[in-house]
Amino acid sequence: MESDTSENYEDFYTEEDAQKHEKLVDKVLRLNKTQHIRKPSRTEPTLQISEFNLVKSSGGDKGSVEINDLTKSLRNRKSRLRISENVKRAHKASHTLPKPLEKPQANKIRRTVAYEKTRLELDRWEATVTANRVSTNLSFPLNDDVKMDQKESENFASMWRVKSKLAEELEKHEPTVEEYHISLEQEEFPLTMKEMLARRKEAAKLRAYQGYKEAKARRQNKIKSKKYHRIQKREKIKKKLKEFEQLQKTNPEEALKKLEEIEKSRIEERFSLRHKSTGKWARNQQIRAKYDKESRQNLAQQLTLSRDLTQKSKTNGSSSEEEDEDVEKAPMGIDETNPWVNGVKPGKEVADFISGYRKYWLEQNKTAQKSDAEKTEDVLENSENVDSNLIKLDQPESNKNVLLKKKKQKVVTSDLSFDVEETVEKLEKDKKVPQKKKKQKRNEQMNNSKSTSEWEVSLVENGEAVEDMFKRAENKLKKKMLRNVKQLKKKLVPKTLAKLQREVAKDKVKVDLSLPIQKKTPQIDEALIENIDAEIRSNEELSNLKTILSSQTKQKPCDIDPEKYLKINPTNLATAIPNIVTNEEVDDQRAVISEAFEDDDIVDEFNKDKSNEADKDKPKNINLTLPGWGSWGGTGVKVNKRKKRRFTLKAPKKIPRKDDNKGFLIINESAQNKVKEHMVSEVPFPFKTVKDFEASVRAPISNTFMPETAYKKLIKPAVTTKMGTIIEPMSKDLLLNKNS
Amino acid sequence: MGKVQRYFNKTEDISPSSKTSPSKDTIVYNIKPKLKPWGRRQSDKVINKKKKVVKLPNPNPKFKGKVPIPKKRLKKYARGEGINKTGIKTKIHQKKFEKKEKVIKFAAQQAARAEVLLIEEEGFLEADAGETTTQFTQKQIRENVDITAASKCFDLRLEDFGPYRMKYTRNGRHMLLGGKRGHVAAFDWVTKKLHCEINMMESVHDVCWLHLETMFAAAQKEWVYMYDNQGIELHCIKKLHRVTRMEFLPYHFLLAACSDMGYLSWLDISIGQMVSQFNSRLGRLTMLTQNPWNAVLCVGHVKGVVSMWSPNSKDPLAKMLCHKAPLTALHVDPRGQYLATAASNRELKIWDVRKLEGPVQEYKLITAANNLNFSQKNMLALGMGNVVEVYRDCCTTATKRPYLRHRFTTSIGNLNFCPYEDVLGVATAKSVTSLLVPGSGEPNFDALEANPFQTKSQRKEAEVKSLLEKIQPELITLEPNVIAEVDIPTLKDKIDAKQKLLHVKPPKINYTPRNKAKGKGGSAKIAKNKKIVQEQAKKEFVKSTKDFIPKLNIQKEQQKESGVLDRFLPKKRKT
Repeated sequence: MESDTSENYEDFYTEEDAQKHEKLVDKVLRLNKTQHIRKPSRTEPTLQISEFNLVKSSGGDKGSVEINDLTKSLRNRKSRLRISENVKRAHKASHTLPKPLEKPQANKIRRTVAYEKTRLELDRWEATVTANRVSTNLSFPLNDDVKMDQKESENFASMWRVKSKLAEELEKHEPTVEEYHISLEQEEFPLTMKEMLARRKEAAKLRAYQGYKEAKARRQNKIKSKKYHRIQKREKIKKKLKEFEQLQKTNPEEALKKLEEIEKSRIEERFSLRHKSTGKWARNQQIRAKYDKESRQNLAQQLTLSRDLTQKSKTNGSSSEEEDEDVEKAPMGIDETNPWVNGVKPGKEVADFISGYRKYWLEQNKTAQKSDAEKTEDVLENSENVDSNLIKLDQPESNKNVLLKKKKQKVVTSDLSFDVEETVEKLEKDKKVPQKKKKQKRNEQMNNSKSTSEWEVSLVENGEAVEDMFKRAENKLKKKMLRNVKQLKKKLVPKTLAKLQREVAKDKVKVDLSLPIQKKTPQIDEALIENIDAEIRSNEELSNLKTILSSQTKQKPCDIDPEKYLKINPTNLATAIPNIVTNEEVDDQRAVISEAFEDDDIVDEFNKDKSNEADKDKPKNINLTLPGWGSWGGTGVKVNKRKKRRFTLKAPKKIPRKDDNKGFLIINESAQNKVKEHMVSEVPFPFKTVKDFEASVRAPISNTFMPETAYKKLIKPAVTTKMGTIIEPMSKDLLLNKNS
Repeated sequence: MGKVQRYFNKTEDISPSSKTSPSKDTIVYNIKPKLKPWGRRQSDKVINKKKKVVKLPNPNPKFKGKVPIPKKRLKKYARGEGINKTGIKTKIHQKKFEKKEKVIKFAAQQAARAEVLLIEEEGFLEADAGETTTQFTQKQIRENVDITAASKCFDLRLEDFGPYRMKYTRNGRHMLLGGKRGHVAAFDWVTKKLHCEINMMESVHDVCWLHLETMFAAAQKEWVYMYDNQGIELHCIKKLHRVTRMEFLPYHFLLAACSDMGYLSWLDISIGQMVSQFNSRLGRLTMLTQNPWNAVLCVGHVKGVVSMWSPNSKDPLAKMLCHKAPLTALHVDPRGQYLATAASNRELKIWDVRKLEGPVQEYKLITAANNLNFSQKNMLALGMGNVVEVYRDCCTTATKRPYLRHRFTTSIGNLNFCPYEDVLGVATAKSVTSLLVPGSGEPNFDALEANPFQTKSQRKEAEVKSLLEKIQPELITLEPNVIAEVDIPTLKDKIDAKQKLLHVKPPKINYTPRNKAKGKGGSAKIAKNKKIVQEQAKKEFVKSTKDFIPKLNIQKEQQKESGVLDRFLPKKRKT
């Protein structure tokens, strides 16, 4: 208790000091004119705590109040022990949340997670994809698990049986009724995309047609020509009559009603003065009719109309005949008014033709109208349905399209140049060793350079750089050689130390060291290390390797004429001696002579030929000296020897020929030039080496060389598709293991 | 109770003591076997483990499956070493080529299996002890063979029209003979049905069948003429002037001819175009054969040299000094392995034509051979004066004795083995004879290649097919497989060019921007400008370097050659 109070006191004092201190600071700060934002401090306890006021005190960690510190004060009280424990536990269990990451970092993490997720998802497909890519033949659709209805009809077996007469007779009496069960469920399947599109297309077509019709009708309604309307009206009436006739046949009751109507209209027509020659208009027309052909026609038409309308409609009986007559009359009616045709009756044939034509035309019109009407009605209904469907489907459909359109870009990375280098290495194995080294080095450089860009490759200037390169190569070689030597020594010393020493002693006594060097020219290569046994013998040369380096290392091609060793002794054949010899004795004599001189003559000539041929193919030195360039020129002025030497490009000494060691054989190597056009001059893609490519085309494919079964396998197309089936993209079901 | 107790009514009287009374010797362990191994990992293992069923083959099955193919026969049909898997780039391609390799292997096996179908075997003459086959005369042979074979031995006495030459068709069914004094006849020699017989009224130097038995060519006094099998003249080819010998290359549809003036010419008979014609600069050419393996023409020369020619170069592909005396005859065997040459110094040599090496065998004759001919089974017929001798196995081993010998009354003009028959046709000065040589012809024929029993429709079919498979004359080289190889020199050049290009470096540009007024261009802007200028220079340089690359495959603008078949080419679209 005491201690507590003392502490309180201290606190009190310190508080007061602090206040004083603050005041002082304030005053000092006020001296400076710039405003300082003061930290908010809580003064009153409120329910609402502003988050802005929850700021760490300026003192940092020291200043902040920890709960533990608070609970420390409860430590000693037993009743509060519980509380402090609880607080402790809570403190232990709950950690303060870490500070959220900054946005770019968070995004990065999110991206990596997403990548990993998708990668794993895609990895599942890897096996199937590779299997498909590897397979020599893919036949689409891939999943052949289309469920086939394997249910056979009940009378499947009976199909093969020949029925007896009795059975046939029985069947006649009791015909078996075949029942067809059409499952309605099948109809309820949602329409496929194709069907939907087709339906929509049809609907659109019909809508367009309808619109066109409507537009036409509107246009026609707008026409102000009386004549036109008249004609229209007449046509309408005719149509009605026709319809009526049709009705008579099909629906007599309806027809009766119609008849009544018609009758009514006729009565009306009869008692009215319309379409008579008594009206004002008609009288005017009559006056004009004398001079005007048109008015005459109009009048005539009017009268015919009235006649038509007032005529009693035929009910039954010989309607077809009547109709024919009527039809025949119609053209006559028109002709009546025509003054030019008037009186001249058309021939029967003409009339027949016209009537027939008219009949045909009427019929045609009729059917067309009918069908149109029907169609429009039907289609309108359909289109409504389809439209509703389409509206539903439109959304996913469009999505699908988008997906389909997206294609994966296949990135083919062909690392051609690299392979080419390899081939180079292979090709130049037979070349000189130092050259090879140089080349390898160059390749290395290339490799290095390739990583950055194609163009930033080490500079090679003509003269010095090359020399430098040579020097470097030489240095490298020397180093390598020294290393080899060391290795060799290491290997050799423990094994043949005694032997060596003895030999060295012998050498000291007897032989000059430098003598045998020129004879034996070891190849500078890695191979050196491997065959130790061979090296033991030439041990004395080790010390002189440097000198060997400078000398030419190329081995001479062995110049052994196999002719000398592979000579076959001629066997004498006991042939029959012919009675008649085509070549006469003169020839025989000549033969004897030629035999005597054969070696001098024919062989020499051939050898000369061969050497000539070899010379022709040999690359020649190119002299690039320009006379008069840097010195005097003209006749009689000799070009400097040094200059000549400097400006001649030296050709390689000897290029191996195919016929080098073949004795009496000359092979023309330039003769193949025409085939070269057809040959492959690059190693194509999946191959790394020339040899492998050649191996891939070593076997022919055609069935003249291959058995038919193998041929069929070889020419199987990579992809085959089944006609009339939908090739759907692979589904995830494919990844499921069906066996388990 | 008299009733016998039934077994199901029996009460169990087996005493427990007798059933399971553990004797004192045996110790009983009560083991509770664990159904599952404990622990999560263990159980996982068990689930994953499936029973492995090892199927062992039945040690003595009733049917033993496919008969294994002998290794030697497999090797015969093998296509050589396959692709090394590591030599192919992606794994997918590796797999693909593995599959292809399997098919190729399968093909070889099938081919080896199919050899069972070649049931015919060639015959031979068997001599008794103390006899040699050389003793047998044609008469004896004829008496001892069946009627059909005997009918194949006949003799046509043609007294008037001078030394004859004769040739068989590729299927061996038809014979064409031409007499020096103008008699040309074509006939089916098996049925002895004459196709045509003409008197040319001028000298005939050589006759040659074309791709079918319906057409043949005759080298007459001045020019070469072509006739059909009815003897109607189809063409007179004036470009082939004073031809001495002719050869027909069936796969290339080329009629090759050598002339009196030393000209070699190749005429494509499918399109009627002269493929190539030039002077060989060897003087008069009288010996000509083709190498069936690579369709190269072999020409014999007085200087003992055999030169090999293709229509693609005016120099010979190869020259071989075969004899140190004038050559008299040469022939290449139908498989293209051996070349036989005979010279006036009574030598006969067999060479390896594929390697151009030799001689494989060397013989010394008593008289010089004027005619040589190989049969399909590598029998060699020699014509010397009026004697014909046939040798067997003379290429691989040195024979001593002739297989058969026949003597004529007049000197031999020309001799030919009939393909797919054991017959040797010999044309002499006053007769044309066909001799029986047992075992000379190939007994099994490939009907798709050459069918002796060809019907008319088959012939038509074969003609169309062979035309479709015609080989271009450019492919006539010493090594026919060269087309399946990589042109290594060009590849080298290409690589070199590429490397050269890599070492060219764009020039550095020192760009000093001019001073600008204050505020117009900061240091950043200057640096940017500098970069732009340098970049531009670099680009230009790269563009210009494209001209440095040596153009390796410059496609020359070929002048439009108006060939006969050009009308079948796709028309150029107007764009």
